[in-house]
Amino acid sequence: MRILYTRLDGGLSVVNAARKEDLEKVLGSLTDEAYKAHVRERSVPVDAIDSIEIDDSYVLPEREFRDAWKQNGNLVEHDFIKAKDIQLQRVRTERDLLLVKYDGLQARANDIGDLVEQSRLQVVKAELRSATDSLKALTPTSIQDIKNATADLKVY
Amino acid sequence: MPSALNSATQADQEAGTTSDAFTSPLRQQSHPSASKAWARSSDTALLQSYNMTSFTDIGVGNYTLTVATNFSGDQWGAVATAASDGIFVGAEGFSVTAVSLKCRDHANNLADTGTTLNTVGDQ
Repeated sequence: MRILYTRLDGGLSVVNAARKEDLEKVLGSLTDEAYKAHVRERSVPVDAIDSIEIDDSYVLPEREFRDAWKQNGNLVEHDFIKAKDIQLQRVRTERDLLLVKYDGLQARANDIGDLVEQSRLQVVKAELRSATDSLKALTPTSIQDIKNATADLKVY
Repeated sequence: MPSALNSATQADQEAGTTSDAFTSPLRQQSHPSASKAWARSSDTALLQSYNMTSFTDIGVGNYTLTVATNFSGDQWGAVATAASDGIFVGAEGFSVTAVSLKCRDHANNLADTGTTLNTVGDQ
């Protein structure tokens, strides 16, 4: 048994119930209705929005953008704006590490007066600083849009 | 010849001082040293459990485990471990019915993982 509900913070929670036979070891014999009532009463907060039972066979989206999940009735969809923000944060985190690395290389180039390397590193750092531009400008309509607009920082 | 032993009551078990009563399977878990509820979960579902009602996926690395029998207060104990290398689990937000597990990687970012939870305390 699974239940979806939307929290007051806008996030989506998914309740996964213990098996009925496992609960019966503690609670004694339960009808299906009593089992569902027990799970719902203890697991779904009183301020939950739109709580609804979903079929165990329903396949939830991949968890890559889990914190961008939103509820549409008994379906789980993505909030693309949240997903974009999550992806931007990931790129920024990766980029910050690279900028630290290139700052170190630039300091060394400055120390030895390597003008060619200094120039190259300035270009690289400028590219890194603009790595989020296409994603920031995007109005996504799918997760694939977000992935397509994400700069590949592995080349650095 | 010794007199017949009686079955320990829940109060006997919780006090843990009686030596002239035997422990029955029904009352065993009432002793202060006994585990009250446990669960083994993936990042999306409850796999095996005892005395657990549900596992709620709140978000990445953020799960709530709800017990089937209330604790007497919120001062109970939980030990939780992660099923993935490099991920650490914190148990917080204790109530009489539930505990929140936050799973974080070495950079302190929330991260999905399977978990194992064991609990002790008075119910």
